[in-house]
Order: sequence, then C-alpha cells, then structure tokens
Amino acid sequence: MIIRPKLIIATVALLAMSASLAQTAVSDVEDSTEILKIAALEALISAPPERALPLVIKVLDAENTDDVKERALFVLSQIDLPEAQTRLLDIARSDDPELSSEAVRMIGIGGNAEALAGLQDLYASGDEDLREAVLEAYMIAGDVDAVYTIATNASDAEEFEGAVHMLGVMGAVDKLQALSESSGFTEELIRALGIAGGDDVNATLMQIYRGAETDDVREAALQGMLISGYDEGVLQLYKESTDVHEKRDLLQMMSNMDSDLMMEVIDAALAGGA
Amino acid sequence: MKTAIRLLLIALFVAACIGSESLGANFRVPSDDGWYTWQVDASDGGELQVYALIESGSPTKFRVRGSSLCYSNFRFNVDANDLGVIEADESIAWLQGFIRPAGDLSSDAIIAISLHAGDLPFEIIDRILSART
Repeated sequence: MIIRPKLIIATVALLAMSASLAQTAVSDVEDSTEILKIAALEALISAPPERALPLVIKVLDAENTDDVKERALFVLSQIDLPEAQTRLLDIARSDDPELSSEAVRMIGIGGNAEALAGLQDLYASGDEDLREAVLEAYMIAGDVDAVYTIATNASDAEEFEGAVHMLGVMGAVDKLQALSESSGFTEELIRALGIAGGDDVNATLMQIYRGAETDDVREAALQGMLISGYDEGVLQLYKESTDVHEKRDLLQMMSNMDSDLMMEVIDAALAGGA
Repeated sequence: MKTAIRLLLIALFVAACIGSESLGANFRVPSDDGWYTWQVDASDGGELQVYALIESGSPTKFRVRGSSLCYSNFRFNVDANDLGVIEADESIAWLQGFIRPAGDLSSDAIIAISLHAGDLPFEIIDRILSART
C-alpha cells in the first residue's frame, strides 16, 4: 500500500473542516430552536391559563437553556392559577441558583400575595444572592411591609443595611423613620432617607446634620442631601457655619451637586459678606 | 435497490400524510405585493382579523387584530385586499409555513397562530417547545 502524504493532509483538512461545519450547523440549529421556543412562550402569554400552564411546565421540566427557562418562568408568573404560583415557589426553593433567583424575581412581577409571603422563609434560609433577589422581588411588588419585616428581623448589620437601602429605593420614609426609633440614625439609614427624598426627608437630614455627634453621621447626612439633590439645605448649612473647614466641605459638596446656588455664594464672597 | 425504492415510497407516504394533516388546506395568500387580510375564528371566541404584507412575492409581516386581542400597533390601519372568511385551521396551515427559518417573521407567525381558535395552535406550540435544544 502506497502512503501519499498529500492525500493524508487533504483528508485530515477535510475532516477538520467538516467537523467545524458540523459544529456551526449544530450551533445554528440550537440558536434557531431557542428563538422559536422563546417566541412560542411569548405567544402563550395571551393563551387561556389552563392551556398555557402544562406547556410552560413541560418546558421547565425538560432540558432547555437558561434563557428559555427564564422566559418560561416569566410566562408562569403571568398565569393566574394557584398551581403556577406553587410551581414558581418550588423553583425558587430549588438548588439551581440561577433559576431560583429568577423565579424569586418573577414572584415579585406576578405579585401574588401568597407567593410573596412564601419568600420570607426563603430569605431566612437563602444565601446572599437569593436574599438580594427576595428584596428585589418585594421592591417590584411594592411590598414595603415585607421589606420592613426583614429589616426588623435582620440577624446582622449587613442584612439590616440591605433592607434599609431597599426601603429607601421604595421611598418608604415612614418605615425608615420607624426603624430609626429603635436603631437610631445609622449611616445607611440616613443615606436611605436621601434616596427616598422629599421635603420631610430634607428637614430630617438637616436636623441630623445639625445634631450629629460624629463626623461619620454628619458626612452621611450630607451624602443624603447629595442623593436627594437638596442643595438649598447645603447652602443654608454653609451660611450658618462659622468653621472654615466645614464651610470648605459644604462648598465642595455644592460643587459636587453642580448647584446653581454656588453663584449666590460667589456673589456674597465678592461683596465681602462670605 | 429494492430497499431504496421501499424507503422512497415510505417517505412519499409519510410526506403525503403530513401534507394532508397540516398543509392540505387550499388557502394561500396571493403573491402580488401589498397588504392582504382575512377573518378567522379567534381563540377568545370572537373574530380575528389577520393581515399579511407581501413584498417581492413573499410575506414580510403579519399582524393580528381581534375584539379582545391586538398584536400590532393599536393605530395599525392599512388598506388591505380582503380575502374574506377563512377556516382557522386553513389560515394556520398557511402561516405555519413561515415559522422557519427563525426570525422576526417566525415570531409574528407564531403569535398570529396562537390567537386562532381550536386545538391546532397549541399542538404547533407544543411541537416547537418540545424540540430538542
């Protein structure tokens, strides 16, 4: 038998090419299948719930990509049947970290009261990612009371701060005020007030700044004013202050806020009244 | 050779069976360019108005309007050639031909199919969702 090197090289090259082409073809088929599955799932949103549910569950039980399963979870969250909500909670409790967190968020989107209540236990037993997902779900659902409960039951400072931050995002000023009665105005709580914003908050931030016993609390109050965009308050504090260093810090803060009121300070300085 | 002929006959038989089940319908939208519309029974029990835009002889858009369903811009309003009332399964059979290749048109086709009356839309969706990834 005669061995022809060129023939061997050509054969190997052809095999490599066909393997590469086959790989591309398989990948294209997978992409195409996934696109169609996602379109089919979206079509189920307007379908009668009792007809959509078994198909969605089938997708979740079968081998599918995370993208397809996440879309299925969204459709599941829109199905107004107890079984759909039970299923979402089951997936939220599952060992699959990606799907579990997504299911939790979808419970927030769905807004079902029973499923939302079921997230409290999940929060207590979950890891950091899951706890974050639960807080997000409550934010999406606008369930201030649930986040407040988490804050009051927090087992450590990190948990407390996470819940307090979320209350700020949700604009729950009354809950933040209520928490301050037991914990005092912590730095995170002050910043959360700034996030919530509003006239009452601005007045509280001024009060906290003026009564601050530590630089950290004073700084947190200023940060709160920065977040809420309360430059009038910072200007007021600047005018009240007789400390040069403090005046400089407050001026710096107004500059950071890109405040138009800086002109008032400059005019006053030029007039010799600063 | 005999095996090959036998396989060919089986393939033709299977194709004929599939054709009679899903593609045997007579309904076809004309290939002249422009918007076409037809009415079918909707999944919500009402009437569904299906629209197809034909460009260069092929459909490029599908839109659907119904009494309680609307998958299009709510101000969607075109002068379309009315093809009249069509059996839902016939309309589905025609739309089904545009599910593949996957793309914008296939999404439009799937959505349109899903809003038709009957079991066929769910059988089609089930088949798509059951495909192995």
